[in-house]
Amino acid sequence: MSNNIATTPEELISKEYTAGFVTDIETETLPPGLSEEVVREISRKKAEPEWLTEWRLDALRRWEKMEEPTWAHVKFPPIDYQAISYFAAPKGDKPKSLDEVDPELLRTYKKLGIPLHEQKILAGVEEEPSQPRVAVDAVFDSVSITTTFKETLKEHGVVFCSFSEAVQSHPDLVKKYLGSVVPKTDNFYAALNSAVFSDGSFVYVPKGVRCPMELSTYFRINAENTGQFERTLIIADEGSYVSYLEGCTAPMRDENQLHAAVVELIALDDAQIKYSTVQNWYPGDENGVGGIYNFVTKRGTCRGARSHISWTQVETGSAITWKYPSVILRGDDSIGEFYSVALTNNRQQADTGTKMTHIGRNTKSTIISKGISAGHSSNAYRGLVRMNPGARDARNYTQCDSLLIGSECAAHTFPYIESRRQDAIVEHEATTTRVSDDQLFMCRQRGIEPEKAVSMIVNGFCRDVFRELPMEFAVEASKLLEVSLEGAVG
Amino acid sequence: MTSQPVKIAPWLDAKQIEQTIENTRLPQPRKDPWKYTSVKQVLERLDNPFDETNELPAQNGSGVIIGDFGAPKISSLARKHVNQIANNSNNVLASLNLLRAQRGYAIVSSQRNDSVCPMVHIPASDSCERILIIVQEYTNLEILEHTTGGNRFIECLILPGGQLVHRRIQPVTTHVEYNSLTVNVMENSSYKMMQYSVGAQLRRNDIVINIEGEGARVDVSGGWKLADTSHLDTQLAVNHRAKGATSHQKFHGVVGDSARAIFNGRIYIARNAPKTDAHLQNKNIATSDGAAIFTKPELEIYADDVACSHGATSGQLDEQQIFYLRTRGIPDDRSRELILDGFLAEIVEHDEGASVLGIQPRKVDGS
Repeated sequence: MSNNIATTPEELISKEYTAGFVTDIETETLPPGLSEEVVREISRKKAEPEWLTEWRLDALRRWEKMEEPTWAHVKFPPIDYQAISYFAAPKGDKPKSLDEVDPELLRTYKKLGIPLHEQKILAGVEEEPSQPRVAVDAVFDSVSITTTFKETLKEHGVVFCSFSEAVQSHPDLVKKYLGSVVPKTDNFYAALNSAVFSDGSFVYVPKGVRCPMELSTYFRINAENTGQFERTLIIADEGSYVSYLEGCTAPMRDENQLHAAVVELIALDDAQIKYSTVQNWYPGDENGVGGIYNFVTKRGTCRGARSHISWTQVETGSAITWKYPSVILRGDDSIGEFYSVALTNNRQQADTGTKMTHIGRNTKSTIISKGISAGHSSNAYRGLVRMNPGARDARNYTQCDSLLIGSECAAHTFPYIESRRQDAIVEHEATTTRVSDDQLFMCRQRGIEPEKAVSMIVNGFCRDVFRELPMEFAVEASKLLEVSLEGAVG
Repeated sequence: MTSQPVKIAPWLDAKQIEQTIENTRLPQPRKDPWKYTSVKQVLERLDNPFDETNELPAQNGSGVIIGDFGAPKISSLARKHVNQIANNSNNVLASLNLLRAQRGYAIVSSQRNDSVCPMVHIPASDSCERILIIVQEYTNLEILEHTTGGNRFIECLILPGGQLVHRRIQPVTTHVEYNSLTVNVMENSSYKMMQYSVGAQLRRNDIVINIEGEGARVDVSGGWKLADTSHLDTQLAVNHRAKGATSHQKFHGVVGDSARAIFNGRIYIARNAPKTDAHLQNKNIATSDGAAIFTKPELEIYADDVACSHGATSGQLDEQQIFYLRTRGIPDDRSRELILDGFLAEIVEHDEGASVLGIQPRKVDGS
C-alpha cells in the first residue's frame, strides 16, 4: 500500500520516519478544553440526532468521575486533558467528490502512498499493476475526507462509509450496535472517546455477502495540539466475510499527541471479520521527545454461532502503546485469533496484548504474540484468557515470544489465565531470547550487513504473524520493521 | 512518642512500626497481588488472637543452633537480620506479624566436621511466628516445615557456598493461613524448595527469592491437590539480581469440587543479571466443573543475554490415557486416580510430600 519504503540497504540506512511531514492546510479547530459545550459543539458540527448527543454527554459525565488506569507497565507525565483540542478538520464543506478535495490533501495521501483515485487503480495507471483493489476511507484529523469504491460496494449491499455518514444514513444500525461491544464506561479512554469521538469508519456487510475487496481506513493526525478520537464499527451479518485494514501516521512533533480510539466488531452467525492493523504513528525521536500516545480500545464479539474474528497487528509506531484487541467468544463454536508483532525502539513503551473471553461452547482462541525490544525501549505483553463456566470444551493456545536487541531494553510478559471449566484447555508458553551472536556471525560471514542481518532474523522471528496479514500489508510490515530497527545494532 | 519494645525483638520500636502501618496503604482488594484472595480475611486473622502454644523446632544432628532471638549466639545475628532480609518497609502484613508474633526464633547452621547434613523440623503451629534462618558459608542445612493455619514469616539468608533444602508440607486446615517467605541467596549458594499443599479455608503463600550472588542456583517445585471449597494462593517471585544464576520453578496442581487454586510465578531479571537461565512451569488439572484455576506466569526482563521461558496449562484428564488404562481392565475411577497420581508424582521427590498429597512416592531410580 505504501511506496515510501526503502528497498536498498543504502536507502535503509538513511531512512527516517518518512510520514513525519506536516500538511499546510487551513484547519478549523475547536479551542483546547473539554466540557459539555465542546461535546455539544462536536455533535452539532456533525448534525447528529439528539440521542447521540445525549449518549456523548452521558459518557462525558461518567468519564469525569473515572480515574486514569495506572496498571500498565508504562511511564508518562500526567496528560492535561484540558490542553487538548478535541476537534480539527480541514476548512470548508465536506467535498462531494474527489475533484472538490483540497489538492494539498490529495498530495498528502499521494505522498503517503494511499490510493484515493479508484479509476486509476482500476485502469492500472500510475499504480503498480499488482496493486489489488482496496477501498479506502481516509480520515484526516477529526473528519473523513473521502471513501473510495462506495458504489462498487453498494452493488453488493456492503455499506462502507465514514462514521458521521453512517449516523445519517444508517441510524438504526448505529443505534443498535454503538457501545454494544465496548460500553461507554468500559475504561477511562473508551469513555473519553465516547464523549468526543469524531470520525472513523462504518462497515456493514449484509447476510451471506463476501465483501468483494479489502476495506481500509487510513488515519492521519495533522493538526497541532489535537487528539484523534476515531470510532470504528464493523458489523458482519450472518454468513458474511470482510477483511479490513487500518493504517496510521502522524507528523513529527516535539509534543505528545493523544490518540484514543474505539473499535467495535460484531460477527453474527457464521460471519468472519479479519481486522489487520499496521500502526506507524510517530514514535518520537531517539531521546523520547514527542510521539503519539496510542491508548486504544479494540474489541470484537463473536455473537453468532461459528463466527470468527481475527486481529492481526503490526505495531511499530507510537511513543506509548496501550492496546488490547480482544474477542468475546459468545457464540458456540466461535473462533478468536490474535496475531501480533510489537516492535519498540529508542524510548518507546508498549503494553499490548489481548483478552479472549470464552463464553460459548466449543469456542477456540489462538494468541501468537511476538515482542521485539531494541534501544532503551520497554515492551510488555499483557493478556487474559478466561474460560467461563459455560464454555464447554473451550480451547486456547497462547504463544508469546520476546526478542531483545541490545542490553538497555526490557521485555515483559503478564499473561492472566482464568479457568472455571473442567474441560476447557488452556496452554500458554513464552520465551525470551536475544539475537544470538552465532546467528549474526553466520549472516556476516556471508557478506550480509549487520542491520540487514538483524532485519532478516527479526523477519524470521515474526513469520507466524506476517503470514496472517493480507499480502500487500505483509510486505509493508516487514519493510517497516527494517526502518524501525535502524540503528538498533552497532 | 514514647518507645515501646517489640515483644519478640526488643531492640525494635513497636510505636514506630505502628506508625509505619498507619502511614502505609493497605493492599488493595481485587487488584494484584490480592486479585483473587481476600486480603480482608488475612487481616482479620491477624487481628484475632492466635494459639499461644508453640515450641522450638526439633533438630537431628549437630551443626545447627536454634534459639529465641534473645538467646546467646543468636541475638547479634537477630539484631542484624530480623526485618532486614525482607524489605518490609511498605509491607503492612510483615509489620503486623512483627507486632503480633508470640515467638521469634532463629535457626543457624554452623561449620562442623562430619559430612551429615543436619535436619531441623519446624512444627505445625496455629500461632503467629517470625523465623530467621541463616545458612553460614559453605555449610548445608535441611529444613522440614509443617504449616497449619497460623501466620508465619520466615526470613532466610544463604551465605556464599551455603546449601539449603527446604521442604514445606501444608496439610488440611480449617483456618485462614498466611505464610511469607523471603530468601536471599548469595554467590555460589543453592536453595532448593519443595512445597506440597492440600486444602485450607484460605491459604496464602508469598515466596520471594532474591538472587544476590553470582552463580547461585534456585530450584523451587511444588504441588497441590485441592478439594471441597479450599482456597490456595501461591505468589512466587524469583528476582535475579546477579549474573550467571539459574532458577527453575515447577508446579503441578489438581483442583476438584469447588476449590480455587491461584498461582502467580514471576521471574524478574535485573539489568545487571546477564547469563541468567530461568524457567517456570505451572500445570493444572481440574477434576470438576466448579473448580477454578487462576494462573499467571510473569516475566520481567531487563537484560538481553538471558534464556528465559515459562509455560502454564490448565485442562482436564486426558481421555486417551483413561481409555488406555480401561482397556487393560482398570476401572474408570482407579484409572483417573492413577493418572492424577502420576501427574503429581512428577513434582514429588520424597515421602512426606507424597503422603500429604495422598500418592505413592516415586522411586528415585525411576523403577
